[in-house]
Amino acid sequence: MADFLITFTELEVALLRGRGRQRMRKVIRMNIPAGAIYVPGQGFAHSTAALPRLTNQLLGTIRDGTVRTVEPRVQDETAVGFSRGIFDDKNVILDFDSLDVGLFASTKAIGIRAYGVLDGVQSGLTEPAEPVTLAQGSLVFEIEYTPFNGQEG
Amino acid sequence: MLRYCLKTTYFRGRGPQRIRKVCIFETQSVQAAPVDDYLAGTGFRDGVATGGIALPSLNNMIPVPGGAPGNYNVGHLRQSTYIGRTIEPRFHPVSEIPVPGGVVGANCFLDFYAVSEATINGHNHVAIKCYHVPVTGGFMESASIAAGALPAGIYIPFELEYTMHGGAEA
Repeated sequence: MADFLITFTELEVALLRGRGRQRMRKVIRMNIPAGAIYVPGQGFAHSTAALPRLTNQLLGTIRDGTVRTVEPRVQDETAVGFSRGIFDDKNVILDFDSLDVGLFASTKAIGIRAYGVLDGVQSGLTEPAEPVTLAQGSLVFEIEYTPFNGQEG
Repeated sequence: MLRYCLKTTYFRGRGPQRIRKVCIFETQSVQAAPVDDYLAGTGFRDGVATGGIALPSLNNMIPVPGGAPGNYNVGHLRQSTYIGRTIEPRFHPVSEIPVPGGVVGANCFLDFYAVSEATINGHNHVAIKCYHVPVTGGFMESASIAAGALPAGIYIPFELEYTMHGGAEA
């Protein structure tokens, strides 16, 4: 069985350099292939259930980082790979989950979660209860961080 | 709809000059009567906009070339390099925003939608939408609210980050 791997495309790279730390900011599109899955509690994942990693998107290690999903956060469910009928309405809210920087390793996993009103359940916003195989889609997020040796005088 | 600029930050360096502004919308009333509204598919609207009710203009936040008196003629938004965000908390009590038909749960969710240099009377405009869970199920954008029905005193903060059109530095 082939693996369906999520890939990334850099849309914009900006350097915010000044008298403080050198900040890097990148706007990145996550390309979701048909066959990838959504894992509740984790987010959009490869078909192996492993979260995608930003190995080729971050320059070396990072000192501290922030990350955001880019607005609009409310997306049509089919735009991010879900099929009609999983959610009770067509909209889902995207929320960034975590950026693992604790080990300063070259493999930072990224999790983006999707919340909607499940079909037949109207008590509020939640994730699908079980892993969902996705169709093709994409979403955009932004990372802003300081390279580990990025201090400027 | 009144607007305030809470904070302006300049990111100057070797690349384009970036400007970050934190702004806030405040729905307002005129002689104790509300004037703003919410239009499904569009967002919160300014009830006293020049030329009639419309999306809030950023004219006093982002100067435009040859702008009206009071504007600083220092350039305009360089297209496609802006970033707009609403600011947490994005969940607001639905009691603040009347929704025809009723909702499930106590909260609604705000989402930044667009800032456009495609001008309306030469102004940049911004749209922020509101979503909720209706009693009939689903997760839907708030329904339209009749003009003048939106209570005064709803505060919606948002942030713009952009490059002035002539803002590149060597």
